[in-house]
Amino acid sequence: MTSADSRKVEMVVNGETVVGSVPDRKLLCDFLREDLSLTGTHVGCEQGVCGACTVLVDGRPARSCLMLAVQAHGRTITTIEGVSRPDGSLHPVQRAFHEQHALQCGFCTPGFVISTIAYLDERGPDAGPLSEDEVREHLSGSVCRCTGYTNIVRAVHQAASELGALQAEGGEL
Amino acid sequence: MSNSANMEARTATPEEPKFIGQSTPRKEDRRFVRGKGCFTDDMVFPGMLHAAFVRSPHAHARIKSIDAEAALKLPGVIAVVTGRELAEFTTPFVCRQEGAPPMEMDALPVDKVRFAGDPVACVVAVDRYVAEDGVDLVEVDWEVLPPVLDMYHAADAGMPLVDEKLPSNMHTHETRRYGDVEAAFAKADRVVTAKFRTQRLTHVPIETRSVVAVWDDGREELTYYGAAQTAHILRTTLASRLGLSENKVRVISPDVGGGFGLKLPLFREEFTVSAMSMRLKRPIKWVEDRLENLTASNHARDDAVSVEVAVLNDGTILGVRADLWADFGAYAFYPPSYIIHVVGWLLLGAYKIDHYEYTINVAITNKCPAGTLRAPMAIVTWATDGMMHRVGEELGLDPFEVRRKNMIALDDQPYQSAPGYLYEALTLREGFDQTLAEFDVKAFRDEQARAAEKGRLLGLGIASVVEPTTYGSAWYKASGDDGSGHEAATVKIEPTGTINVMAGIVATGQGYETSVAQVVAEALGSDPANVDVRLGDTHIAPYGMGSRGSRGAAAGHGVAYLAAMELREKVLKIAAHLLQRPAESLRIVKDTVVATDNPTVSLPVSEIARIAYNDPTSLPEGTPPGLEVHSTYDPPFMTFSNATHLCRVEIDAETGGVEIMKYQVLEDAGTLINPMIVDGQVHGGVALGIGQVLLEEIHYDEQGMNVSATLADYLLPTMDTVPRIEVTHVETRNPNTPNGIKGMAEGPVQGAVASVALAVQDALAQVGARLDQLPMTPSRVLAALRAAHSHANS
Amino acid sequence: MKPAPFVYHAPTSLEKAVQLLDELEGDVKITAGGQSLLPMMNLRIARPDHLVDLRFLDSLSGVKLTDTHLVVGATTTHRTIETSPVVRRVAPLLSEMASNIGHIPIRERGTIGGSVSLADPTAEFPLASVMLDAEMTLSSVRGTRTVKADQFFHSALQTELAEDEILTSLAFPLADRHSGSAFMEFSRRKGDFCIVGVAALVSVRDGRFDTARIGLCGVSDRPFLSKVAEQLSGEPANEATMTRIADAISAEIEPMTDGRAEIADRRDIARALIKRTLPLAHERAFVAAQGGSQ
Repeated sequence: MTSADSRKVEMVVNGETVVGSVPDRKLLCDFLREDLSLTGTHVGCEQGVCGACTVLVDGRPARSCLMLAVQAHGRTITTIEGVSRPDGSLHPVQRAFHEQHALQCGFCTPGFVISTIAYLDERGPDAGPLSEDEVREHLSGSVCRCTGYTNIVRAVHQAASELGALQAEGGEL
Repeated sequence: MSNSANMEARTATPEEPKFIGQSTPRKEDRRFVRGKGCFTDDMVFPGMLHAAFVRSPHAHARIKSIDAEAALKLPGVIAVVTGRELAEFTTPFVCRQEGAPPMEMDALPVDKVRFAGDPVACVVAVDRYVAEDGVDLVEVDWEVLPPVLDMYHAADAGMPLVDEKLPSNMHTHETRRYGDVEAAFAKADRVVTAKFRTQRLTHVPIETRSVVAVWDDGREELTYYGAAQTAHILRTTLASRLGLSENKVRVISPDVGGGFGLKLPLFREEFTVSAMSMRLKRPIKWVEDRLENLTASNHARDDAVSVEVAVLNDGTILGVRADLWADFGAYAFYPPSYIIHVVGWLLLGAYKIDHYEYTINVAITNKCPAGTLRAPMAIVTWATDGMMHRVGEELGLDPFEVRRKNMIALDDQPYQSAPGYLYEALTLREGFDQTLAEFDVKAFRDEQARAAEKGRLLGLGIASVVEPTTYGSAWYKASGDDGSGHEAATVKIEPTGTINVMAGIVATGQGYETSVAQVVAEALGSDPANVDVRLGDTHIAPYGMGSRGSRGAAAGHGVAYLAAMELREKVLKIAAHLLQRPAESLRIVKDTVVATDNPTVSLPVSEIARIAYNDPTSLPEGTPPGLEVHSTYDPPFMTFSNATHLCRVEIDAETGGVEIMKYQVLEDAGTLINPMIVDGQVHGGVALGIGQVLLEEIHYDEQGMNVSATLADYLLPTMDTVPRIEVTHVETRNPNTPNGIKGMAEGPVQGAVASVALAVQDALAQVGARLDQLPMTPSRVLAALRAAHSHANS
Repeated sequence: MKPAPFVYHAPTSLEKAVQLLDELEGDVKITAGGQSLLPMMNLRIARPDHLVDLRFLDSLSGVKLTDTHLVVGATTTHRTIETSPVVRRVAPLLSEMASNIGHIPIRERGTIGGSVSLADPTAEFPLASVMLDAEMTLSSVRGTRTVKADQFFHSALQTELAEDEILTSLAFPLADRHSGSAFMEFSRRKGDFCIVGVAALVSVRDGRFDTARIGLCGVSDRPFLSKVAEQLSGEPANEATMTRIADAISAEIEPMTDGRAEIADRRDIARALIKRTLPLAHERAFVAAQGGSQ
């Protein structure tokens, strides 16, 4: 095998098995955007600092600019396109970002939504009320240049309480 | 039409819903939260190629030769083009400034590079990976020249010329005088001096610059898809430099991932890609990477202000002399004096000062060229209020009292500032008084003194912001710079009654698709949900001046409102004819014309629209068919908004770290269209200002290498550095704009730079330490504390 | 910012991995989480000809407790170490230091072996390994050897690892149950490379320090273990002692000036962090000695 050859990869993306053929050096973000046309994953720094390209890899948040497509072989990936429901209705985190005006240009938003989902999922619905410091500590790895974060923090609080309430009602998340 | 006729909002009858002033959730969010926006990099065209640029590793060097042979042999590389080749079929950009020599900029440099990162060749290949492989293979033979890196010594004897067509590296040196400054200083009890230095910054939109140029070889025309804040102006420049007629170039600015003043000019990379698309007859994409963005897009803010203030012992300010410096970098995307002049004419800020003189000095250096970063004059409020504080300190008076004593109140307005700007409906002293009434400064000072005894350094900063928002065409004329401040909109009620609005402003995150829909829905008695707003496509939207400064509200929304009001008149005129009632007795409520005296008499707007398009013979005599209005609007010379910012900090004296404990803003932007969106603008602007005071800084080393070239080195404010920002509003209407709108967006940056810097200075003053340079990093804070400590012990 | 070409290898056993390292020509880089290497590759500062990914080497991942040691596989992620109940119980300093690395998405992918092998002088895990006397296990076709942490780090980004070797695990001797530890670092923003970090590990007896170890990152070309801190043994555990030792260590270190801080800044910050970590470590040791849990 040489560096110019392509390699077959197979992974589950947003619930569907996809098969692709990629050069070894192709970044996961580029594979998602170019080969799968999932352009909701945005590339902001290619260095792992800005967080715009964050996706879920086996349910955990990861920078898709710091992962090769070949390294995603056999894994399960969730992108922003896999977050809302098939009928088009918004996930509580997406809805909270909208209602709290937690986005302006919308470029960093997919990374923030994915990171928030991962954080609230890990934290669990029964973990009690969120403190502002806790939110700021957990989501400080994503950069937004528009909002000044005040409304993002509010959106995370709204989503957390809604997801907790949904859980209490036995609703499906 | 006469604009003045519709300046005032209609008096809404109870049944007419109001949309102006409502925090309507944004229409554009649904696509963004689902990742379904369409940004430039999301676009794909058949046969599309990808570009990457060869860049200078030197701050200053002659290009002896460029060898692209190895790159061209690489499979997948389609073309390599140099500045010399581009010059054969493109023309340079010429930047003119009244009273100064013009500056030229080639498509790509031909003979010489002027900063590290300057592009010298473009590689076009089948994908970006291969294009970058090609870049690695292009060999440039350089003759390295000594760089010019210090603005204060740029014109010293023996310094090489950065731009060899200029007589000197000191591009502009100019003094303006207002009143009798000599006399004011002669009368002064004393002269107080102060200095302020802001660092080189850059914009860092999370979406970098990007373009896809698509040449249509059938129609022989170019479509330019690219993040652009001013689509039309870009089209004019692009067409002229490519030798195309303007109707053969279409600029489409799709969803834009933040602009902050970066995405205004026609940059060389985007221009080269457009030219290469013409030449190769293939679509070409270029997306700036973050390294390029930080080193080679635009920088800003490399400014210094020194002031001398003539004062009486009672705190009366008699006059001010200011010496203003700007390091403009290597090329002129804007007239070099443009931004520092704004600092000059705005420097008296919120204060009544009659005698004033400022000198501007603009140096051309071997650094990335300067641009207009959101609130380009951001140093100004810190300098103004900082100067007043220094006066208070030196006279032994309470600085807040000195400020208050000299501050412009509503009663003083209309007030003409010394440089000739008219202030109207600004609540400067009122906002300051309200802030001081709500925040107990006395209690804070007590707490501050107690804390200082225990080694804790608390600081308070209050900033009084005067924000220039909307620049009218008369301002451009007076400034001597090219350009206009008018804006254009077209409003159409389509045959089914849905509404389309097209305007010359371009959205980069401001939520225009919602807020423009609000003003149009209000004028036409419709609902924002029924109004679609189309911006940023030069084939659809009327020629406008785009989004920059804080002009979107008064100019962009103002003109849409005026056009919609004119269309309303036509709708009511047709309805009056059809219903056989006087137009004055009719209102539009929920897309239905109703008689105010008899609500059972009504006619849906959709029916009027059907008739206007499909049954025009039923229209009143002399009424042209269709329901569409195109308007332009030229705002006043200059409009202003104002705000009072309050910031409280604590310095960790052992580590030099600064934490913001409280941040609040009292904003007066006149009539608000969508308060939720305005709050968001305040939050974002404040965060940018916090970044400037505490974190961000472009560093060049002694060789002129940019050593802050990644986001691990150039530190953006994150969630843990920006606190919760509290915003309250007063809405004092501007008497001269549609609906009393003033606009805002840059003021929050000015206010944050000033209030955070003043708060840190206040905290340092507790132990006699001084710091007048941004950013106020732990290292600089510790150095200031050590200096104060050794001074106290000596 | 796209990587230069390379050939990717994902061996399925340690034997195959070390064989690849032995056989492959040119610049060969090992990757696990890739959170430091991939940025360098995107910037084309790192241009490996071959990339050997340890992702399928399950034996290198995870945390194991033996009678004498906590054994952490080299590809165990920072996040796993941060959140593992076992690590929190037997090596709380290790999990506390893990929680200071970067941001969560970085910690989810980054690995302890990667961090230690890279040997960034500001990094947390190299210091942790020295503080806790880790033994590194290194494998190659030539065999397996163990190296003590204090022998492992040669200078900035330079370690004992030979080109054909893989760091496979770190074994931490189980500490005195009555010790207490603390770690703090100072950085411009949360998650940034720290300017200075300070770790303290102490045990107390009768109101006096019994054993004490203080280590710093960001003040040298490798993890710095204070000799002065050994003087704490037998000293009364009071504020005067701690301030004195903080001053002494701040003078003991020989930090550097770079774009982020001057020598004097690093001394100041080190002194401040010692004054804050030492009482906390002492308090935790006191609680532990009382039989409480940390």
